[in-house]
Amino acid sequence: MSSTTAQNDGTAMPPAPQIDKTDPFPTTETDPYRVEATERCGFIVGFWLLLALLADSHIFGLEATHDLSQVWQDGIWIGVSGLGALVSAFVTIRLMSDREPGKPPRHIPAVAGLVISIAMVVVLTLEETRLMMDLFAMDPGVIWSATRPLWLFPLSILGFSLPMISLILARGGDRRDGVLGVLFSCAPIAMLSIPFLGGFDSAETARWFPMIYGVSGFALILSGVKLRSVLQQVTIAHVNKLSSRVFIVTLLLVGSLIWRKLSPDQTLSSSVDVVWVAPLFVNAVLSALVLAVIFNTPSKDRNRSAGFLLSYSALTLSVYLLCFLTLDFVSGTPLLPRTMWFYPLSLAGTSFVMISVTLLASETQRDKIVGILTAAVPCVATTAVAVAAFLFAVPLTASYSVLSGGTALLVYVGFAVAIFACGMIFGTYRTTQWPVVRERLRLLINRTSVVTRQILKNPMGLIGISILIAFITLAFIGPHIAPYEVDMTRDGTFDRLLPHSPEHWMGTDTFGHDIFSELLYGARTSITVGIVAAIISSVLGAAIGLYSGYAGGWKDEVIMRLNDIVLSIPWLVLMIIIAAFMGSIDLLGIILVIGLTGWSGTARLVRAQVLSLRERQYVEKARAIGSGDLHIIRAHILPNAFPLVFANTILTVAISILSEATLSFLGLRPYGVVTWGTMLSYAQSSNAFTIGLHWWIIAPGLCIVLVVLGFTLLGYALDDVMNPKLRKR
Amino acid sequence: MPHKSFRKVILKRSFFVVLTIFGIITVNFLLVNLMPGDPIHNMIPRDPKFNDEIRYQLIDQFHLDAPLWERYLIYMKNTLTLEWGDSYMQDRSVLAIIGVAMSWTLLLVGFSTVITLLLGMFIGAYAAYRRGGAFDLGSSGLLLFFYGMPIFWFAIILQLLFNSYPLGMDWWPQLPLGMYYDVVKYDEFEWNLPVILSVIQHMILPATTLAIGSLAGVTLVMRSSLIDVMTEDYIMTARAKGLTDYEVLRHHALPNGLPPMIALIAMSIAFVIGGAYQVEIIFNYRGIGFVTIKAIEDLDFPILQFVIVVGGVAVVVANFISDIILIYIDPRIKIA
Repeated sequence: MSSTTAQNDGTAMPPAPQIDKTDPFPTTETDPYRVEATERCGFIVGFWLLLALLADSHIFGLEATHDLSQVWQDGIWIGVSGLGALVSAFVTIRLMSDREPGKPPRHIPAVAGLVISIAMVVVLTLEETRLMMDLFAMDPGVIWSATRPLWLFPLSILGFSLPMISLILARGGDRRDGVLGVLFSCAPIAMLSIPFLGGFDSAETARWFPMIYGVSGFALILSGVKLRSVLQQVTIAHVNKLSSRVFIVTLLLVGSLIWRKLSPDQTLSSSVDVVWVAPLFVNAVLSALVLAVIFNTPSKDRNRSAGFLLSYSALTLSVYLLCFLTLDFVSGTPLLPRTMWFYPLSLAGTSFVMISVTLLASETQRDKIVGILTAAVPCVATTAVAVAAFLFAVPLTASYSVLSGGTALLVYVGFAVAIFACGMIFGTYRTTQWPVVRERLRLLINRTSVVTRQILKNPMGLIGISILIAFITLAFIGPHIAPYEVDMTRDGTFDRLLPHSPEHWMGTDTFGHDIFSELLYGARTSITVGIVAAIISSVLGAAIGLYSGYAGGWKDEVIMRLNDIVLSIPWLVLMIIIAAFMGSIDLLGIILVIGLTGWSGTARLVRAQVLSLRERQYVEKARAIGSGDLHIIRAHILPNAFPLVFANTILTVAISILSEATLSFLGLRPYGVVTWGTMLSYAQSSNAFTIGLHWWIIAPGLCIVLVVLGFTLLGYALDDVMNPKLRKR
Repeated sequence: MPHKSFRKVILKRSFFVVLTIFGIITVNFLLVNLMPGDPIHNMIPRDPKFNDEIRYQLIDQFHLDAPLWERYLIYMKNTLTLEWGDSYMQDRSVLAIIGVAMSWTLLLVGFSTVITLLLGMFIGAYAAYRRGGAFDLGSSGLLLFFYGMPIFWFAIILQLLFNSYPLGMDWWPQLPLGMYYDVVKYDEFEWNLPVILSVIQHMILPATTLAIGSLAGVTLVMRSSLIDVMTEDYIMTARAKGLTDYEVLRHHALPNGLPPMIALIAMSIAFVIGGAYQVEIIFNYRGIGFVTIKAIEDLDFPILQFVIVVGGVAVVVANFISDIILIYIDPRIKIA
């Protein structure tokens, strides 16, 4: 079962392999020259393709209709196709020359690629000549670019994919690389189908093509880069480690669904898709790894073929669903209603991988059975819900009514628990990882309790924590204790601008919502925006600061100069301008805007800290005994920089809440939700004071002040406690 | 003063300043040029007279058919030679609009910065001097409370406060809420005593708002930097010499506690230049912020572009100046 036996088997095998009848994937020696050629080819090809795509889209803009630039644009593609032809020709000659008798010919795809590339060059050149003629006649009616994305990019990429497949097929006997390589090389071809599927406006969507094909380019690079050597070393331990990450992703996903009140289908926004992309991607990677493990363990276990099938289905499922999401994103509207199949299928992917991991990793029968059962729950439950919805004839296009409210909550919480339990129960995970995790948890709890005690002794900390506990409780229960429901997507049910009265403690606003209820609802959104945005900017800032400080030299210099630029640009204005263009923005958008622009301060702080940390003796010693950079960062630098980052994050939460209020006030309001900032901005724009609704302005403002005060006090207190240098004073 | 290395540091710094300014201008160019949509349609939203002929003329005039790098060069040249074009909506050049607005903003910011500095240094010094006392705790708490306020909210509250007679106090001062002096056009603005008085009267509320908003930062930095200094040995020596508390503070503690303040002040001035938006909008004060928000409403791009550039450059230059001052007044500071 362990990886060492697997590798021993592989290397000890005689040159003429005795083919194991029960092993569907025999391994043979590979020609190192071919392998290297493939890797190099893939890398070069992908690199140039990406470069061409970037040049094309950024310099000229794919929607450019100016005829002059069209010429140059096509010039790029003629070049690319020419390169494709060269690569194909090289591969064809190479493969034909050392073709071994008795083996199937591998060069056929390469020949096809050659033909296509040459055809592209010819067609483009002809078209170009014609276009030049038209250009002199100055006929703006020839907008030839409209249909171009439909065939130009697909065909040119096909010209690359095919020889790559040829190379991968030819590069030796080991099928595992062959399968994965072909899968990766096929990714661009799978994406080719995208333009042909929907009947959408190609001119409008052409802007997104660089993205799609950029991904394809990366896939091509991947098919060439040292995938093989990496994958050969994957063991079940890696998979176990990664699968614990899957739970985190899944939990986040479930949390976000619960947070969105479980109606993602009513307003299908790109943010919902973003939420789904991450788990799908992790799924795909995980299933690919599981596949690699299966290939790496030449055991006669019958679990293996089952595991292979399951992981393979999971991989395909995830990849196709990812393509589908991309397609939806490109076309702007969902092509098919998702309610019935999307969630079941994507969760089925996770289930499949989990089951195959369980099959591979469980030591005892009991672990195996429990693991399979728990892993199957999400898939079965969603399918059941979908089938029920189908049986009870909920129309597919109707807004999603089955999975809403309490039922959905239960279902998804059930998923979370089930998937988590499944992970905990795998055999090896429990025996190898769990003690480590437990020890870490114990340390964490110890340290936290020490810090907490110290903070509670500090008067600032005590006040801060009390304020925060009050408000965070309010954030949790606010919407439930609010006297009236607030749905900002609709007008309220009350008369507008009522003064304060026993029914409406603070009156009603211009849309007929109860202001007091809005205040309670706003607690949740405002605090969420603050916390999530602060986490995003802190993680980003810490990562950049860590890299910059640790790498040093010119990289550090470049990053810090960029940081200076980012720090100097007035983001507020910029955001408002962008908002003026985008029209409305949802809550996630606001969070991203605040989170993605606020990192530079943190980056600076972390960099300064890392600069001093990396000169410490223990880091030097770690380096002397041969620790890698990643290990040093993770084991020595990050833990020492963490207190600083943490205290800074708490302070950033305060700033983020203020930023949200300011953005709302200046016109960048999240759509469909109520925050304290939006309340203030509506109050200001309808002159709340002159019409006597004082509370409309005073209450949200006071809430903001208090929450910000709470976070600031806590931040300072944490700084005091966690930085022993300060404590001396 | 160590001349050679000193000059070298300044040279390196100025090189970075130039680099950063170029970066800001470039980012600005890229943002405008990579925005979705056709610039011509953005410029002429709904004009029935618009036709292809005008369209081609515009393309020709603004080099819209030129490749990106050529447009970038043209843009760079125009930006650096201050040919910033004309506003879409007002019949004036962008440079003039931004210049006038900037002078008003500078006036406001200068006024409020003076208030902030005086108040902040005094409160900070006193709080540090009586550390842990009632004044220290009270002022820190109050200032953190102010720090947590959205500035626009505070401005609204102040407006309310000074536009009514709270609790029927008829002696309560009434201050103007904004709007403007007796001026028709900016160009014809005439400075005489009544106008100056009116300007000052109009500036009290906005300046106070800004000052109180940035007071917390100044005071807290002042306080902590003084506390740092106060634990040094030379303060002990000074005390032992028999100097009075005031003399110790004035001659030994304050000068050594100043460097962090200078960096902070430079930063806050720069940010306020780029960001007195909230106050300017609430009080209808025609500075940069007001012009910007109006330009956003009108989608007046030439103004918006250069507001961003000016704001960014202000931050960079202020930082640079504070660095230089810091190096001059404190030769111990090694700036890499």
